[in-house]
Amino acid sequence: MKAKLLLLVLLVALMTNGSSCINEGFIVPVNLKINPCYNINSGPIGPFGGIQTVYPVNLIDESFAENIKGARYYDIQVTGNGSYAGGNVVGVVYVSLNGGAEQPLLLLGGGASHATPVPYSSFATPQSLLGTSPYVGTSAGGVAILTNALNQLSTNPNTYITLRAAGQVSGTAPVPSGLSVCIAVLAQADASLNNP
Amino acid sequence: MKSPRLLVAVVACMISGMVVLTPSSAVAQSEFENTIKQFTGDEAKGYMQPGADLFGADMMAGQYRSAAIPKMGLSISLDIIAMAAIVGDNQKTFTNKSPAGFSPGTYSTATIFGGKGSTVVDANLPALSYRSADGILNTSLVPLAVPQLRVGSFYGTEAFVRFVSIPKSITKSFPDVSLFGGGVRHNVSQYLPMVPLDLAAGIFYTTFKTGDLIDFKGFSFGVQASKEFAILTVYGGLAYESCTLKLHYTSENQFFNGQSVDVTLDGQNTFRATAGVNLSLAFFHIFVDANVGNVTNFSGGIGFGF
Repeated sequence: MKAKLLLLVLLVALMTNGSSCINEGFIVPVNLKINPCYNINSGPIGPFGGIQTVYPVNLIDESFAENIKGARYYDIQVTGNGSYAGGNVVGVVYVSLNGGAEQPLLLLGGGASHATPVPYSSFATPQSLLGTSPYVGTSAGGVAILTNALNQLSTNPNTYITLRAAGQVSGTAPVPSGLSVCIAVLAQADASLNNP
Repeated sequence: MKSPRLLVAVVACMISGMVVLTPSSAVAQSEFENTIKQFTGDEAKGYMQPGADLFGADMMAGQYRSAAIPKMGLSISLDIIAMAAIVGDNQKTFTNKSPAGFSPGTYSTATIFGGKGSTVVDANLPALSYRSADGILNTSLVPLAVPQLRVGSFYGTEAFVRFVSIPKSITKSFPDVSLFGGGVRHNVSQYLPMVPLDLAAGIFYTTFKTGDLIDFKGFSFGVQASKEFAILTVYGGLAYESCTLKLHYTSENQFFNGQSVDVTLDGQNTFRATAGVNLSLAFFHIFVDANVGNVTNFSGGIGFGF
């Protein structure tokens, strides 16, 4: 009984004291993935593309979304789903923020400017920037738009990005069914917790 | 403790730490749970290992304050024991793996006791970077407090038990916690009357759980010696101990989303040497000791009994 009373007194004391050893505003980077996919129509060879709208707030748990202090990207990966023997692919993914002007984000293809068609099979395994893939390139302007989108979350939860793909398949016809190109943007948004 | 304010600060840190370490209540998820669920298993291991080391050392401390155990007759006491393990500088950082493909492949970053988490920038593509979490706890000590009931003696054997159960809401911000510990000690000096010291040996087992997130188990066995000088008893002991802290959570890391993560952390402290003093005043006593092993910690307490 005396032990319980002592603990109760200490609990009351600490509640009124307000002491805490938990760091204020400590940062927890929340890992998230933006991964749109773009279907390639079967049949004649030609262009493919599509538009995907992503609301980053939907990718982050609500307990974190209100206190985003920063963001970064640590890889972008491209995967080609399905099999297309003798087929080639090239393309660009553009990004815009809240309906504003778009910038190129991702370049798919070979050569110095990633504008040369490459075998579709090159993307059977994910090609990434970190893997120094010769088939994937990025643009600083597009990456900046993505970073801004995450940084705006705490002030504008309705922030959205639009990812528009514009590509071309060539080579052997017809194009088989079941093909798609999927992008995975691996990102972190810094959530600040235990704020005063 | 040198002042009541310091005592309150230490206890506040303990309770704050327990709130951090405990799982979600009906009101809000704990900051610790929010953080740990973003980790991969390897990252959780490095981040939490010092917590397991220091918490484990605390859990195994304060078992005795004398080696003198009566051969027969009722002896009973109730103690409130506080422990505190020192957070060393080497427990504030750990080496974490960078994401696959990054150069460098590893980097040093904060543990749960550390400061700011580090950001690693890829040497080949500086536009790409990866950051680790900051430390949560800003403290030089990991404190703990438990009540302990000791009952003896039957042919020189006594038993002691610890039990803490904090229900879902003492206040709305306190989720559940349960701690249990039990041990047995035996009077060895009755077999060695020529030794001018009181001698005892004992075993101890303890558990700590917070919902499904943390499951701790510890075991120790050791020998103790003491000598009484009127109201003052000087005591010491050697013990082997082993503890394991298991973390179980469902990852909310988008790359492992929904996957169950199980991390097992073995406490660093496997051996301890203890030295302390106990002051007995009729039915009241107060004691303090220091414990040295891979982890240095202190325990002390007050109690009533005989």
